[in-house]
Amino acid sequence: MYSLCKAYRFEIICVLPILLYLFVFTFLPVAGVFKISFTDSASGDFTFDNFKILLGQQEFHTAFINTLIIALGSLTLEIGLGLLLAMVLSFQGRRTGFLKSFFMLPLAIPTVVAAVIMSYMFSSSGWVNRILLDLGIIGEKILWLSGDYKSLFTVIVADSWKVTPLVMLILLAGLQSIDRQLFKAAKIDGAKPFYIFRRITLPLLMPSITAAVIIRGIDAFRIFSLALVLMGENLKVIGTFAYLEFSEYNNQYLSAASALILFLIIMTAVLVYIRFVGKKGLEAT
Amino acid sequence: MHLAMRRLLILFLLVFVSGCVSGERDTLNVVMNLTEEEWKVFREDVFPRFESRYGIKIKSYQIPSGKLATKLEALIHAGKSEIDVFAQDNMSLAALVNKGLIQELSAYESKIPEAVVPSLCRSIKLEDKLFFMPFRPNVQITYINKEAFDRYQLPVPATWDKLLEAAKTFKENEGIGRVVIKGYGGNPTATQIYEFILQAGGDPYAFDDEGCIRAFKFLQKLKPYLSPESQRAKWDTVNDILGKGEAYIGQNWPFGVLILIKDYGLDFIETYSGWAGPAGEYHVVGGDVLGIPSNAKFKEKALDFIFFLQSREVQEILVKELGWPSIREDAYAQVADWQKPHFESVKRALRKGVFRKNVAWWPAYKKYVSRAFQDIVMEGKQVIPTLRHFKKKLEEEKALYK
Amino acid sequence: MSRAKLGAWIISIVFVVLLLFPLYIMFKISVSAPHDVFRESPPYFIENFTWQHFRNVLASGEAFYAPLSKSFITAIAATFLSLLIAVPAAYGISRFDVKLRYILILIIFMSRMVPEVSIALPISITFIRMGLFDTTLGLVLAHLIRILPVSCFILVSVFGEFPLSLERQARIDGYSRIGAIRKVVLPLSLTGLVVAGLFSFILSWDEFIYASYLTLAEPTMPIKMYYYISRGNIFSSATYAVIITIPVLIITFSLQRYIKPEYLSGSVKG
Repeated sequence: MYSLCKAYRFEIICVLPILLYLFVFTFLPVAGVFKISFTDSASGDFTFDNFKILLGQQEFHTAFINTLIIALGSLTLEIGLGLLLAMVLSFQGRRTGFLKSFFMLPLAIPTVVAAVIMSYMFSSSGWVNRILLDLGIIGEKILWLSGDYKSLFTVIVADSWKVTPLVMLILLAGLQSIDRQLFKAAKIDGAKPFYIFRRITLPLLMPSITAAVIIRGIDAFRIFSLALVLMGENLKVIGTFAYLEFSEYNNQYLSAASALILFLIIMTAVLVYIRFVGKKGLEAT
Repeated sequence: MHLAMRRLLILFLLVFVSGCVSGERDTLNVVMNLTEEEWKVFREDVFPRFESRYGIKIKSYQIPSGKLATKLEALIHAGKSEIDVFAQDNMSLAALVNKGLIQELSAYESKIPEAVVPSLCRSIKLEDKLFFMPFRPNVQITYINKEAFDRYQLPVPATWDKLLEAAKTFKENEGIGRVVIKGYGGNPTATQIYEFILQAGGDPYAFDDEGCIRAFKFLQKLKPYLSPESQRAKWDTVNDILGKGEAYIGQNWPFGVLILIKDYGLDFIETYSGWAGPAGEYHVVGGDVLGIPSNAKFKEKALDFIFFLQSREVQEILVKELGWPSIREDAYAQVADWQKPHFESVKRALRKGVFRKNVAWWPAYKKYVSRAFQDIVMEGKQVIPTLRHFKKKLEEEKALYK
Repeated sequence: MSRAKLGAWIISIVFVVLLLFPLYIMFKISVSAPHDVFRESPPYFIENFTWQHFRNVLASGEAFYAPLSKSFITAIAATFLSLLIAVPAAYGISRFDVKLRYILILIIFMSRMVPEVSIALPISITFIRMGLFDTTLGLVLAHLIRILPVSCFILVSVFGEFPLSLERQARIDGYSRIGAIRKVVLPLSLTGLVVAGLFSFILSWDEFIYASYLTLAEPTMPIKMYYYISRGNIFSSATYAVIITIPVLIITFSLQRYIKPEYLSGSVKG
């Protein structure tokens, strides 16, 4: 240990500031959330009451389920579409440079701006209804933002609009790093395209998919701006539930307890994914 | 390159530091919670008059209602005095007083202009002490789509029964509900329910008394005939819903008159004071009051500013340009002809006005009463058990405010 | 062109249209006359073009310039501070052996697993007590939580690709360790530093969550836009959306060549 410290003395000094920063601005706040969520609002003593109150609230159950549905739904849609697009683009070969530029566009849109744009699209007199009406697909306006299952779908689509291109780029990079010779050899052996996809492309792409799932999965659970701007009170996820409890209803204890639960959900999800699907993506470093 | 970078860095740090530690402030800093259109009138018509007369520049900040206490607390901890005078929603006052963040103004009560309606001052006193000055009473009026009411030969609903009847007529004829109730949650919903409960003769804070039950039962009966837009209706969206003809009747603050009739030019919109319940016609009086933080830097100038805002001159501007109801009886002289019927609605509603009791736990109340609304009205759950359930939750949460 | 190729083109063009249309709507609203928006079926194309909404925003004086300068100063400060911390950190990490490097990167990555709401709440409460609430400095410190992992990952890959032999040569030529970094490593990695800096700028510029917990009277641009959207003011919100987006668009596209997808998300694939 001592020799390690000596050999890397300079590097350790270099790394200290960021570790210190992470300690103060990530570790301590998390400890703070723990503390607040186990504090009794009146006496300041240790208590489980905040969790009892929280878990007894229908509103929180709904937020919890909404978060799960939105996270899993948007993740599925984004990975699916991202994979399709990446395959299509890599199939088209080299002339896709300018197409790729277009796919960069939503990435360059701040999330909160994307949320504002989506509120123009999905409001009852918005453009989604307009186009569906003009195409004759629906007969009357659909209330996308009223807070029921249609709103879950709306949030999923809105999130995918912004994020699918990112997933696509990650997967495209993965696809392009696969050795072309493999495909050629498989074709010569007479393998069908679907067989090639299942037996060669998918396994070799797995590290990229894992990376995309983890990166995106974490953000999907943390969904906040999009849900707040689009839905506000009408459809809460845990993130916005925690925010509204604190800022609108003045209850930091319930806010902390729900934020802590969100943190635990994310940890669990990441661990479960790594345990069951593999950690190749994490080892890519 | 390196030298240039370093110079840039130093220059930047200087700018940043100087930005953080700016010198002695010589502006009167004012906090209000207004819409964009309202800010425009204040910036262009009101502030400049004060500035030229009293020789001090005004700097104004927007802070959402209910958040002022947080800001003042932070400023006191930081040892900074950044706010001299504020206008604050009259339902968010208890926290300011309880935490000792503001100055008592009882000594200046005599300087309030005589034309200011006396009941306004009485209503904002806490334990006989005056902490706030009246600035802007507000009351919701009811907007109707006259064309639609004429089409079905419906009278303007003066009672709950008539309202229900109109709602049924619209639904039967158009297949979709055309009465909008603010169901978004939070303040808009809580205020609306408060009013229904008053009209039913109940005490809103009791949560499950006779009147509360009657009000919720009525809303439940009304539900099938409500506009589906009700779910996302709040103060800001009601204007759009009425303006686009998605609903034919709904309540909102008087600022809707300016937006719907003046800005959008929708001459089919008319107003009246509102409907009466079994216990009579009552309306919640909302609005803003003025106050001075305990660590204000320019107290004298802040007082000057308060009395300036209460002056006939300013109140007339606010009435004329913004359609605000006035604290003064004598401020309506310059009202344009097209505005007159709407001010009659406002005045009539104000005469039936009731001030809400200022409780520190209003944030918790609005949360649970909105949830009760969601469960009972929107989802059709049973009235009494649901009210009892949320009353218990509210009682639990009141502990936060001790 | 084979049928499969044609299909591929059709798919990608459909997606491009789906991606572009909402952006077009944002721009369209910001330059449309009110009666083109508030009518039963608004036109698909811009019929009555107007700069009026932009003029209104610019004419609102302090209400516009205060958030603009707040956002700008915050972003610049966050950029400098993040480089100040991330450059040495990334250098140090890239010079550790594989195992240590992996652990450190994992620690930094773990910090991204914490939801913002559970960091922002205690920070907000602490900042109120410390007087940092609603100040530029407080917001900068919070923004670094979001920025540091990303800029660190970018820089680790920049320094990782830097030929060690060059650095060794500099040491042999008589430079001290710091001297070698200053005279050789940093100047030759300048492009990477600029990329990391510009990313930090964007991440602070469009940040929303910490800003909504930590600002009140002095909002940033995104918070101001939220004020307009929650007040139902469609033209001001669209105009702000365009104004916020333009710098991000410019920076992203000028950096397109240097963007690896994992940068954007601060991935583990550093």
